[in-house]
Amino acid sequence: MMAIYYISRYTMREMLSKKVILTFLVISGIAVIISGLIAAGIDLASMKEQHEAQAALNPMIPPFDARTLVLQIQANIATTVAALGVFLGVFATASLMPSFMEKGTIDVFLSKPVARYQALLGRFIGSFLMVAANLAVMILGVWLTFSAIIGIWEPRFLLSFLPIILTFAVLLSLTLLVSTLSNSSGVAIMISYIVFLVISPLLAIRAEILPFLGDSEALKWVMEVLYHVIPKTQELLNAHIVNVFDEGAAGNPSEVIMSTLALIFAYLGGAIAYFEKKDF
Amino acid sequence: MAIIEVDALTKVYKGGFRKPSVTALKEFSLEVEPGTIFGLLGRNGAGKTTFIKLLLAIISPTSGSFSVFGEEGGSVAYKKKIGYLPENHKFPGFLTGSEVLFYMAGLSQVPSAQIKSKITANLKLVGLSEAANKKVKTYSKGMMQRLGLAQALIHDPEIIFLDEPTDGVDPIGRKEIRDLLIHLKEQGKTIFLNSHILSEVELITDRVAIIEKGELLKEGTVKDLTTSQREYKLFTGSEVVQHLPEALKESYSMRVGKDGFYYFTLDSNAIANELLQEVINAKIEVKEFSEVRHSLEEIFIQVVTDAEVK
Ligand SMILES: Nc1ncnc2c1ncn2[C@@H]1O[C@H](COP(=O)(O)OP(=O)(O)O)[C@@H](O)[C@H]1O
Ligand SMILES: [Mg+2]
Repeated sequence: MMAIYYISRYTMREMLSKKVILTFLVISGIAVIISGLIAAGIDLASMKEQHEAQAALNPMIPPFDARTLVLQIQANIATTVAALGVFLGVFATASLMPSFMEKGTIDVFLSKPVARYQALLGRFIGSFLMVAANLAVMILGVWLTFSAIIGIWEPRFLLSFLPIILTFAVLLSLTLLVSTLSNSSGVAIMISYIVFLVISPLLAIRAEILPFLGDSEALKWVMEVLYHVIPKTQELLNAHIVNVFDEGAAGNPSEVIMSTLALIFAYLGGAIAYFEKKDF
Repeated sequence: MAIIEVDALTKVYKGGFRKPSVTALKEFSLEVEPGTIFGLLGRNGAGKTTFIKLLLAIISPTSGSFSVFGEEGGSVAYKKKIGYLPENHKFPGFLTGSEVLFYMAGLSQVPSAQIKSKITANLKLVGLSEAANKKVKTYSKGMMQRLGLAQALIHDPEIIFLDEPTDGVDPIGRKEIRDLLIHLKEQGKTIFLNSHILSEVELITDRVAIIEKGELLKEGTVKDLTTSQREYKLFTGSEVVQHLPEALKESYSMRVGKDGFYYFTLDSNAIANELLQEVINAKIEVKEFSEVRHSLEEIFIQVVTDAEVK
């Protein structure tokens, strides 16, 4: 177990020394400033006046609810923060396995009493913790600034950390798998981004798009299989951020969460199986 | 009992698209005794690095078997007692020398309470104390090699594998490394080193093996290999040929070297003594009479070219 500890610590040290974590922090800072500006641009008092003027004309309009309004804005901010954080997270971690497997570096590590699966898990845990810490700082910063300026403290925003971190974790394990197999950070970044931006959103609405693709049984089957082996990042983020802010709206989240955890284990297992056998 | 036993080890690097398979090691067998310095000699591409990597389970054998400390090869457990200096190693440039040693000590299972003192001691041992807190990316090739040695020794291993340990090191640094290896041997460590710099190997190794194209060509003590088979040279004050006894002529062949020495190839050591006796009896002044020794390099070139002819 000490081996995993030292490899993860080394991994965090490596990430810190790279500019990419610094970039992460700078972009987090920009996100904090922008959320502050958004909060400053919202004039709740005049919105309330306008709303009440309309409500006076139309008795069907419910009374002004500042809290719900703030939650809606926060949900949008959280979605943006999530996309940004996951993007940066994948970018920051994609080169970790290729750099570890470089000739002259891997030889030293493998000559130590470290099982290969421990080395890979150390890489995973170290990079996960590093990005998780960055995401936590970003989310906390955005929330503190936004809440302080708008004057309404709604802690549910902080819960969005969970779907975001889970989304990152599954993309990280996919990135580790692909970069270990291909020994290329570029390929890993490309595949993770395509899953995140294209494939997962499409599969999430597969029932709606099937009719446009001819509605064949075979295609349906292929999509179903893909849906189960590809990270459900779209559902995790959208549905669960909605869930955080409007409880129950997205139905039962545990199914997507369970299947995401299963995928994390499967991807890591695949990466380990390959890494264990590889000649360096 | 041998501390390293290798039996018919073969490694084929699988080819791929437009890339032929390479047999880097062929039915290679070897034994290394504890407490000795063993040198594996060969040209670039002969298979030396492949051999060490197999013993450390960095690559897996195609066939054959080996054991280290009597334990079956490839297990993680015995690596605790092994140190390794890879060739062309790259330590992360963003770490300082002592940080590299910190992680390597931790991974080598040095108890955390001892890590600090081990780092200081090993930096001193290899002469890097002053560069301890400089980033590795500012190190010269020679300094990198010293750092590589320090990490290989940080956990006080029993066997030390060194792949081209003096590569890129200046002559004084090379001497220091040789002295360090001799010092380690005196402590009872076993040292296995790969090298193509034969003059250096000759100075410190107990046994050597010559490898070419993945095959073991010759193995033995440096003395055995460099001492030619019953060839003697004689230097005298005057002409000797007419004084040599007829009776012995069957048992030797003689030539005169460009250096003025008479070279005799004899059937046995006893004949050498008889020959010398005859020369002395004939009142010829003997200035030098000795068994011919070749440098390891000469032997190496001879063995390798012989193998090529076949
Ligand atoms: N990973 C590899 N894939 C394919 N061929 C390799 C690989 N590593 C080494 N070789 C080949 O195996 C042979 C032996 O290489 P090596 O063990 O590095 O030799 P040495 O250390 O004696 O210079 C060489 O022909 C080399 O090209
Ligand atoms: Mg080599």
